[in-house]
Amino acid sequence: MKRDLSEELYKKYFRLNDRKVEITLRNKVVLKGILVGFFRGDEDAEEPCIERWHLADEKNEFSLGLDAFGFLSGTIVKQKDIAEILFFEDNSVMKF
Amino acid sequence: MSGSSAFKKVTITSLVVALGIIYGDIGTSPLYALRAVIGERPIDFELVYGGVSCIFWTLVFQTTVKYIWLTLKADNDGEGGVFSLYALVRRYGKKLVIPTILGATTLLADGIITPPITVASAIEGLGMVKGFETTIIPGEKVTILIVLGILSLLFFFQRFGTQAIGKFFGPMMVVWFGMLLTLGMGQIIHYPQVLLALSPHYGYNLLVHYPKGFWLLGAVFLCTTGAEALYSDLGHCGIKNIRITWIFVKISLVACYLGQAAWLMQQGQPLLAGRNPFFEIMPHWFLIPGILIATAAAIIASQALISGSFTLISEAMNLNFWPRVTLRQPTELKGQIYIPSVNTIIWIGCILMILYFQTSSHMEAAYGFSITIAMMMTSVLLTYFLIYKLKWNKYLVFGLLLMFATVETSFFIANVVKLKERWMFLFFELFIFMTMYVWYYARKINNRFIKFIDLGKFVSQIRELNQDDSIPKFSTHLIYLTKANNRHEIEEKIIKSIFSKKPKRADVYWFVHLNRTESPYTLNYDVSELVENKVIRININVGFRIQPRTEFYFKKIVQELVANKELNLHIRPDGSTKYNPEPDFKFVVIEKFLSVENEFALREGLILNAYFFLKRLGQSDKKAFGLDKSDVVIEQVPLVYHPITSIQLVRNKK
Repeated sequence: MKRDLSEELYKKYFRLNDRKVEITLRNKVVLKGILVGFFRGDEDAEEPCIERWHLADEKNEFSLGLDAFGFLSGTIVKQKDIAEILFFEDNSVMKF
Repeated sequence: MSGSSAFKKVTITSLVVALGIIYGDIGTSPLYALRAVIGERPIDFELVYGGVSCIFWTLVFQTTVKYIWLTLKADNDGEGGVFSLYALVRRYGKKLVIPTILGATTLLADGIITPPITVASAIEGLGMVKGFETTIIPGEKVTILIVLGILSLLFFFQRFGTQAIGKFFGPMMVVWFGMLLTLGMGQIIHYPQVLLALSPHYGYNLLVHYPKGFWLLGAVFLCTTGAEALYSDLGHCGIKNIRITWIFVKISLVACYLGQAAWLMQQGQPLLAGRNPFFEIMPHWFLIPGILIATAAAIIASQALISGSFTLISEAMNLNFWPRVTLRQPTELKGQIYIPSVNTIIWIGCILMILYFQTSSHMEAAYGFSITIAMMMTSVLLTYFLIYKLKWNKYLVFGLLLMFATVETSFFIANVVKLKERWMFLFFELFIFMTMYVWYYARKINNRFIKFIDLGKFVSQIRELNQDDSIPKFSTHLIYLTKANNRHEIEEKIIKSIFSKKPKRADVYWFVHLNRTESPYTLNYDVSELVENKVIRININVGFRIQPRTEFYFKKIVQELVANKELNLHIRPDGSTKYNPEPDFKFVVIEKFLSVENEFALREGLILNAYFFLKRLGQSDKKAFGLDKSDVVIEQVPLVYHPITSIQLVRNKK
């Protein structure tokens, strides 16, 4: 059975104290920020364990990634679009 | 306690109880099955012997082999039925949800004909009694009114449960099957050569050589319509009791069909002309007691169908296939439930059936089509069960599947002609199917848009809020229901509810997670203290046959924690408990509504709009989680799935 790398990232997410990351997407776009949350995938639809991640600005770490008016700040990144993630806490890289 | 444990032992009592619960539907088929085969055709050797042969081999293949031997193996902790089977195999096929919904839909839909057809068949027999010939005529006003009255009373009394009369069901069915056996044998003795009709070649000849013989399978099928219900009732009696009683039931049924055939061969008339062979084999002096017994058996069969529908919908609710509706437990009897909305729907359905079809023979022409689909869907799920759970050889399983597929497809094709008699059912079936489909898939879509966050990240903020006396206390114990599987995560909306606008200060924050298990009667819990005496998470594992009485479970758990000295309820002296020894628990239920700020794909839009419409018709989340007696705060949270992004808001310059 194919390994679900989103689950690896999910486990890593809970191990991190500092969730500042740099995400390189498959289209080469680079995003920097803090992982503040995630959306689970639908197992019945054979989606990965985590389907999307919420990447917020650094200053928004404790504000749930929403601005004062409730609009989403930061970016929602699909797991399938992620090529690699650099974790600033331990300088490790996870490739997908 | 598992559902079957009470009946693990085989005793005379357990066997009698099984007779009363399991065989109502299949046991009352002799009232109409052979009459439907004969219909208005000329009574001859080929038709009578062929009809009985087909009935016998259908009972062998479809009931004995498929259900009694094979399908009963698929028990989920003692429970049977399409949803129990689905719970066992759902991890092996993502598309299994469709056969499950179809199976449940069709079982419910055809179930609406079972009470009218059995009660009408029994009552119409009164027309043979001297003095009633001109009063009780099938399709006439008086007959219809009697059937309507009996069924209406039956549905009315559902709210009181069947504990009081249920104990008579078993003995009554012993009398019923004893009567079938005696009546049948009484005719077979006079015409013993009818036993030759059990040979399969008569059945083959009927289907292949008799003019339009294949289509008679639609009538033959009526002898096994109760087989699917038999599997659904597995949990009430246990497999051994069902298998042992089936020997007696089958002998009685076969004897009765053979007895009817023997009478048909000897009666001398070319046509049935409205006569029912079932009542014709009764001695004249026995007609009134016979009809009374038949009526009682018909009522027991109807009761089994109604109770089965309540169980089916209750399981559907717990497996998230059906909106939450009011469910009551009319008696202390384990597993006995009453669902007012389902009772009303089936009652109205039965009334419409009687008014539309008027006679039992007209109902025969519409009965059975959906059950064939339910049986086919069970076969699909059963295949997964045999391969993945029992690890049977794939070729053997496919061989069995091929055999059942051939039999069931033949029945299905033969029953398709009934569509023209039962077109109105399609609306009912579509309604049930769409309700289940929408509810299931909308929840899936909903879940995809729930954002989870790391609870640990907010623990220090919760602790700070907890000690901030400048903020008025919201409650001593604040409880949220969470869907997060992992104790370290939580829904973002819960954290928002605690901190946004007016922060909710409390002494203890509880996060309660209800985990629906695949086994039916699980009920256990675990507790994790994320911050000592301040943030506590409880996981409650609840089986799909158990009602989620959250408040009750929660209070029991807290009671245990206090008794074990793991928790002090009155944590701070300024708590609301100063003047009242009763702890102050407040539940926050977050209800979602569909925001206008959405852009959907067509399918998602339709499903979600239908979902929120159904949600308005169903029970509130507060009641659904069993919190109706608690102090509950409802918070409305907009659900924004795909925010509208194309709005260009331009500021006008003066």
